[in-house]
Amino acid sequence: MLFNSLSFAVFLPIVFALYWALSNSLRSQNIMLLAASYIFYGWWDVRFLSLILASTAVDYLLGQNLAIATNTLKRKLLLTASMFFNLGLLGIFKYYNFFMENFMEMANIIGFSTNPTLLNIALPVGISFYTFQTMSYTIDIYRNKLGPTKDFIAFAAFVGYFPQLVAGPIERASNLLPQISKSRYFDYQKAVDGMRQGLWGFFKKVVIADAVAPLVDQAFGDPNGYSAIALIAGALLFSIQIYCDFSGYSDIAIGISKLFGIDLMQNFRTPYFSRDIAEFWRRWHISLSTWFRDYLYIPLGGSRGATLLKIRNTFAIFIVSGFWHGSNWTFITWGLINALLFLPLLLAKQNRNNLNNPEIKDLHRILLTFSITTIAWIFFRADSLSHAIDYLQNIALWNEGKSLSIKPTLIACVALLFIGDWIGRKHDFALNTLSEGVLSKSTLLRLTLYMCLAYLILLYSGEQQSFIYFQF
Amino acid sequence: MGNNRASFISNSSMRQFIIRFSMVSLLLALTVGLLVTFNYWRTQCFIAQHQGGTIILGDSHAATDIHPQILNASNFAHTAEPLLATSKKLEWITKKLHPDTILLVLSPNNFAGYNDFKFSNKQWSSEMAKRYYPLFPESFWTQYTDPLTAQVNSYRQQLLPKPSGRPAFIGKFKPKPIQEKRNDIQKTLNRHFNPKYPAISESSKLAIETIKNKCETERIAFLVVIAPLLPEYKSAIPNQVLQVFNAITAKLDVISLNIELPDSNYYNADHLNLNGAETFTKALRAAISEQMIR
Repeated sequence: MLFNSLSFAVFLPIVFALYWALSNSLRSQNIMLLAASYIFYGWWDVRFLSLILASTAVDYLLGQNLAIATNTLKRKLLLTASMFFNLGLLGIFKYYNFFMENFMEMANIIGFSTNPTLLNIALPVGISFYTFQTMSYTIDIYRNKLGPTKDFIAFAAFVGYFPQLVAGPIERASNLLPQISKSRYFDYQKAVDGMRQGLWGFFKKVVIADAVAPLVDQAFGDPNGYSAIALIAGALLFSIQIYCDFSGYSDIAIGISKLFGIDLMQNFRTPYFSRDIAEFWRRWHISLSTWFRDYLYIPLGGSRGATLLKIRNTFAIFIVSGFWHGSNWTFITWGLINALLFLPLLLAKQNRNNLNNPEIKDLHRILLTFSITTIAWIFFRADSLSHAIDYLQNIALWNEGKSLSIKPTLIACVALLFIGDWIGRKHDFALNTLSEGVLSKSTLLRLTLYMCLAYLILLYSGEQQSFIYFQF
Repeated sequence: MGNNRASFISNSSMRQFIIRFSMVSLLLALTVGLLVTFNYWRTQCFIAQHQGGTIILGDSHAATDIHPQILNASNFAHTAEPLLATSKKLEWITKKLHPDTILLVLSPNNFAGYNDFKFSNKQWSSEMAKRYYPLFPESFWTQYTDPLTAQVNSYRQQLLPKPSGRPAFIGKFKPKPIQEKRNDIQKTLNRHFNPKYPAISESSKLAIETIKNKCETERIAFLVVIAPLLPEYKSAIPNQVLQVFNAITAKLDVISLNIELPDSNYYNADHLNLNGAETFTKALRAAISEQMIR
């Protein structure tokens, strides 16, 4: 079920009404939340439910056993079992064919002929998100940072919580589970905030990302046919598309969750106003970056130790992060490029220079970082490495060709996005600025803004497009 | 006591939330309602302004080649319009505008097989739905992949304020600039006569009959003009299509024009530029007068 679908427009009010009608009984409320989450997820394919159920059951049982196990070896074995199961799921559904195809190619190069079986299976939506969520639960118990929950329903609701199930934010058990395990009361201000955040998310997704998508498809679909300027525009538009698509989803997810009285973690903090690549990674897909930081980078030694170790750790985190997005060399290359951009800052100890909010005097550095990020995104968007190189080559050769027809209304909407993001850069999301300043005092101004955004969403919401991050 | 208080607060804040949300939704619905009413009123004005007279119909050939002011007519042609859509459009026109004359511009590609796929082909179907949704019954759209999207797309048109009142399926004169783009002959041929589609459009053959019959029933003069084409393009049209085209036009009241347009009057392989459109329409006006005298 997509957030931008008619079915969801019917689903959400029903779930909202039932959820709050059951607010006197926490257990009934959680059963209701779990049922709603499974309906939401099963809407894609009922078969996917078996995987999420299996992942939930395995980590619930391993978590219980980890808590009572005192023997170090046994604890390690239990943790390994969780890793083996969750990464095994990812390995089979997401990476098996990639490894087999590359293995076949390598074998052919060295003169062996192999013909391993490839799997013809669909990638379950959101598998990379919920497996990471369950793994963090088990790891935290292993590290004695978290106690296991005895309430299976609450745990299953944590794993399958529908607002963030298919594309994050990847929640930590330490944040989400306690909220699910205790009574919740309807909070008017939180609900209003949620509506605002959802509205801004829908604006980003429906009005901008979906309108930009066909232009990006045109440029990337025929890099030899379009002029260099059109290809540059195509790459810039993809930067905008992926930001609006993914951060739009996160805003909707966080906003919907607030309607249920549950706070999810911030996933984006105006990343395109970053002044260097290190800052970009503190502002982009925060839930994934911090996941890798806490469960991979720091255990490997982080930025401590010898220079060679720092270099190894940096490459490890960025390459794994790239690979997490999909089984394609393009994602690995994208990770590699980001590692190469981040490394000089780390080695010069300048990776934590920009911890405050950007100001207008930083514009040149913001534009430079945005340009570099856009070049890296070309690899992310391309179908293959040769496609990405072809795309860049056509820009470098300054070829003539077709132009992209970008409507002035789209440019105006993108301008509105960046103005909104700039004004709201010190807040969790752009429309959060409405709770302070002039707009907080003028109901008419606020209402006009809501109307304009809602009108634009209605106007552009004809053909529902899936979210890019669903494929990961 | 504490629980009662919490429950009371939660109930009152929920009530406040629902009331405010309903008010905002109502306001949005009111805004949309006003827009729809405004568009409806403007459409009625458009209908009132275009009663009687001559109406030019067809696809991009008619939209670019026939200057309506020279003929004192209304050009309602639409780019890429299949004849099936033209025939449906004519039903609406005859019912609402009661024209005296219909001038249909035809070209061999109107009978090529790709026309049958304009409502299902990914490239065109969305645009066709946006324009022609109100003209076809629900059952027509259910033949295609996503009738709901077609419906939503069509209703979305109502959300845009349209001061002109022109319905989405009514096109207009779209002159082409005076610049050379005549190197697209092969590309145009590939698009119009793509071998992946059947050679002949069955829906277009039926539609032209429907158009002719409708005009006869409604006692509307039905004139046909053949679109000017660059000789290199014209000579490369597949024989099978040309034969069907010639057989169909032989049964229609085609205005014969003795005019040879220079290449400089063409915008591309099968469309005139503004100069060409003016020259061609003047010649057409003369030919129509001559035909009427006879």
